[in-house]
Amino acid sequence: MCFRVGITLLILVWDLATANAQMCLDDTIRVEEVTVYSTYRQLHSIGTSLIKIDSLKLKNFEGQSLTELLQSSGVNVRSYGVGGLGTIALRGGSSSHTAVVWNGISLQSPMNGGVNLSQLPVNLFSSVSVQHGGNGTIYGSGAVSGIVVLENGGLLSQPNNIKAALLYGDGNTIGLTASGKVGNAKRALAIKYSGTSADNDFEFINTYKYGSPRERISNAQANLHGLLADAAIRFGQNTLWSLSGWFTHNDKNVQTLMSSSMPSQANQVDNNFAIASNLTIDFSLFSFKLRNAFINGDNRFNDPVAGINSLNAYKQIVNEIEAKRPLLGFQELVAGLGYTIDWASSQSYTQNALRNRLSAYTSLVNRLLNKKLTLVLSVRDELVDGSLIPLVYSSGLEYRMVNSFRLKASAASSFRLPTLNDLYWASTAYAVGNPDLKPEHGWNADFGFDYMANIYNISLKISSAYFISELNEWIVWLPDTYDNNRWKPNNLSRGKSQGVENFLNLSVALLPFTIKADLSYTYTKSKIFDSGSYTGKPMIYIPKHRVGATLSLVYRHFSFIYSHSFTSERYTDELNTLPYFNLGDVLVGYSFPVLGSKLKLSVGINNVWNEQYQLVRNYAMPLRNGFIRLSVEFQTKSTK
Amino acid sequence: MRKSILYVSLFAFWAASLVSCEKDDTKPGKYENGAIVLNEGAFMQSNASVSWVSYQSDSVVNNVFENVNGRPLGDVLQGGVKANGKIYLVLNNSGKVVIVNSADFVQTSEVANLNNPRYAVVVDGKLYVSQWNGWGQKGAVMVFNANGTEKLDSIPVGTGAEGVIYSAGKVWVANSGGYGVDSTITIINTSTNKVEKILQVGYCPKEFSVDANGKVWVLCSGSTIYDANWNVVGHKPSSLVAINSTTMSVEKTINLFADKHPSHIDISPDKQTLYFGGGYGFNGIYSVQITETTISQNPLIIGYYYGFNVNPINGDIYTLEAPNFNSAGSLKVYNNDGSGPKKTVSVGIGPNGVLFN
Repeated sequence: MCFRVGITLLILVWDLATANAQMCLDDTIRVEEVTVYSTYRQLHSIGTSLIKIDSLKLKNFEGQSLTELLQSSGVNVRSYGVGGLGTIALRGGSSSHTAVVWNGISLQSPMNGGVNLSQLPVNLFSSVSVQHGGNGTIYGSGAVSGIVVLENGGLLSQPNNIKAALLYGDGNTIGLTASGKVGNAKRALAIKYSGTSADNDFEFINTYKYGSPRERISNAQANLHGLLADAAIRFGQNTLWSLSGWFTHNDKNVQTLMSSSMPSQANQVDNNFAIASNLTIDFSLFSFKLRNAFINGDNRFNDPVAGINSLNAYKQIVNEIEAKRPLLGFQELVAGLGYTIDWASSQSYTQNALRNRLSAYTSLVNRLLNKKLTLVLSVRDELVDGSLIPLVYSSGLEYRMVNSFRLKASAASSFRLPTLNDLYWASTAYAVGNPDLKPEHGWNADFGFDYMANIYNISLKISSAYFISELNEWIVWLPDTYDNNRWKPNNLSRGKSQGVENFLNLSVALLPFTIKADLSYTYTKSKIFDSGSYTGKPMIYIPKHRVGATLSLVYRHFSFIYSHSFTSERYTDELNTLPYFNLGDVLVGYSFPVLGSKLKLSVGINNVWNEQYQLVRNYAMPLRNGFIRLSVEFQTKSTK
Repeated sequence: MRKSILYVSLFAFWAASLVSCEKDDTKPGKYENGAIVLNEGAFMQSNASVSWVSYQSDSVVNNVFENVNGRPLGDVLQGGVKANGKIYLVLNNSGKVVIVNSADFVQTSEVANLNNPRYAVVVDGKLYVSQWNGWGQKGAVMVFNANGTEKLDSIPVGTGAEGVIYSAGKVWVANSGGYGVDSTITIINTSTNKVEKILQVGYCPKEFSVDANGKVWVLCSGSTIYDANWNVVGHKPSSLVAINSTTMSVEKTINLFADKHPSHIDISPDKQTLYFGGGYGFNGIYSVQITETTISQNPLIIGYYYGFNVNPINGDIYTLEAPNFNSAGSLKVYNNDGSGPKKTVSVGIGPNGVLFN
């Protein structure tokens, strides 16, 4: 049992859960063709599959977390129950192989490499995108399989507004969001708040119990509060300074496992805050950007049954300076330096952990063949506590053959530093960290096309890409037979995945009707190597097939949206799988003006087909459930 | 061009749904005349399972319970016992005992709402289940009727109630200390379900065997001592203790290791040779005659075995390897002199014990 306690601690450091209700929409769009790349980071979407969640969808998910948003957007999400720890793993790998980046700053915990998406309310961010495929040259450690890009930009160009929404749903879910923005084209301030309280006692069929009884999810109560302040000031014509900060507080009970006959009594409280400053100065010949951020996270887990009361905390200081200048008329050179300090404290460490990272990167953008061809080449290196890690590189290419057809390709290498847990875990009879770990490293490549057509009132977009990726020196915790069988992380495994990603967006305007259909299909074939008897098996929780479909219909003030997703069988370990499932969600809305404001009343039904499913083994998800939401918005026409 | 791409995409969706609708409907056979391997599974994963391994051949059927009953067995299969045509499977982190027919593994009933149950024994139509209870609490032995439908009693015992055995009209309970340290066993009279005696033994008693003379042997694992910074600052030694089952007093103590902590014990068919070892982080399986007072420093079988048991018919030693808790474990069968293995088969995740069916 002591061994179990040790492993429990290991799990808990991963586990940074939170709460929210669930509802689904699926109107993800492919990002529009980007012809002007304003920042170094945007350059790195060239040649890749980049999905941007449209603003309408962001609005419909206000009051919920990124877990629910991404789950409904064709992304493979792992959720440990309702509002529980939510992570994603794009194209294979584990959750620590997909970076989550806010305003250019990675939010991955230095302790475990993960980000709990359930703790990030959707309405705190003005833009959410998902880049499939890794790129270590720009995002550094952890961007191995993909990147979730969160942004709060464009404040000066947004109209002033006040918004509020109230939500009530099954599971005694009460949500309130409110936001306001004031300012002009030179200075602006925005405040956003999101608060949710939920019992999350949804019904489910307990297929893990004798007689498959109908039960209610227990001990899943949650209170999540998020507050963001965003300010921007323009000095003259050339200088823009923005300061953003957010704070989230999440008090979440840890859901009872399906197989357990005793209710869980576990609870965890997370407090996270981040503050980031971005200064951009544009001169005629070059521009530069200075970015500074401080990130703080602490997590307290308490389980009186197991006698666990742990406290884990980390802090990060991030500094980056980046310069860009044009060369020869068709080229652009970007170069940057970064310095990051990681610090962490845990009862499971023998001492507080500290890590210094110094990075340097450069990138060359070429626009050739009358700007029909864009080619980006980049390289990066990092000095981690005095040791140089292997160089990483990337290249992206897009070729517009005709206006409606574009070929694209990319190749990138990536790396992931060992987490502080991997390095500093205390030496006990059951587990021990490994200070000699090497960084994981991998590569990935994409090749595909985009096709766009507009005929009369019909707009069609089709995108397809083949991808392949490989991850080496994968850090895995296993009992070490040379060290009294203690669990210890080592660079043991290798992973490989390949597949195709297809997107189809169709919209038809037959006034007064507007009809839109979005389809997505992802095929992923993943395998693990050098992992004992697991060798040759698929990576856990990576479905081979995932299909998403959304049909939306707008008629005058009414809107109707139906979204459907299919997720195929997933391995949960070498010998067990979770079965495939289908999810359908319906949302009906009616909007109308009142006293200069826009009111919208929405009614939604989640899991309309009453599917019994699990995203993570042993964690129940709700059967059919509903909600109602009333939102109001006052908005000026312009900031001028 | 546009049409063909659209058709390809639609075909892909259709093909995806076809592929994903395929189901495996393997039908298992009967499960007697074989070893029943208890696969603990990974904590919180609810992937505990049972494997059936033929005595005569290399035939193995994994995941027996789920194949027969159509649902997962539960979370952390800690122990099991066979009695009166039934097998009682103790699911620690599910807080339940699942009761199945020993012949076909069809579930007939279960006991739920247990608090950290560990092991079980059936005596005169009564099911005795040891349980740790919660952190900081003393353990208990819960008593039910044999089909688990009626709770008969709850008997407070020591901390971390672990192994249980029936001998000489009594249920013997090893108070292992659980999350901490205890050094007692509790002896319960099964006629009255009252505690007859609490006996001091070695550190962290875990499992029992009964020898040819009716003496009850208890394996005391000892433990590792840490300071606040997880530095190892010492050990409680391990030992084997022989108890007179009539007088309920300690007759002999064999000191084992100062800083190593075996977890399991079993006995040969003639009940003259004790085997001990295995468990987390312990290398080897040792043997000692019940008449001895010291042990050989050389193990009979070398290796890290998460559990082991001795076939009560032929004395074969069934050892269990759990390389990790994400992949299949293995069963290796050795002769009683430690030679072998003469059989190696792949079983479920985290195998920790064997019942002989």
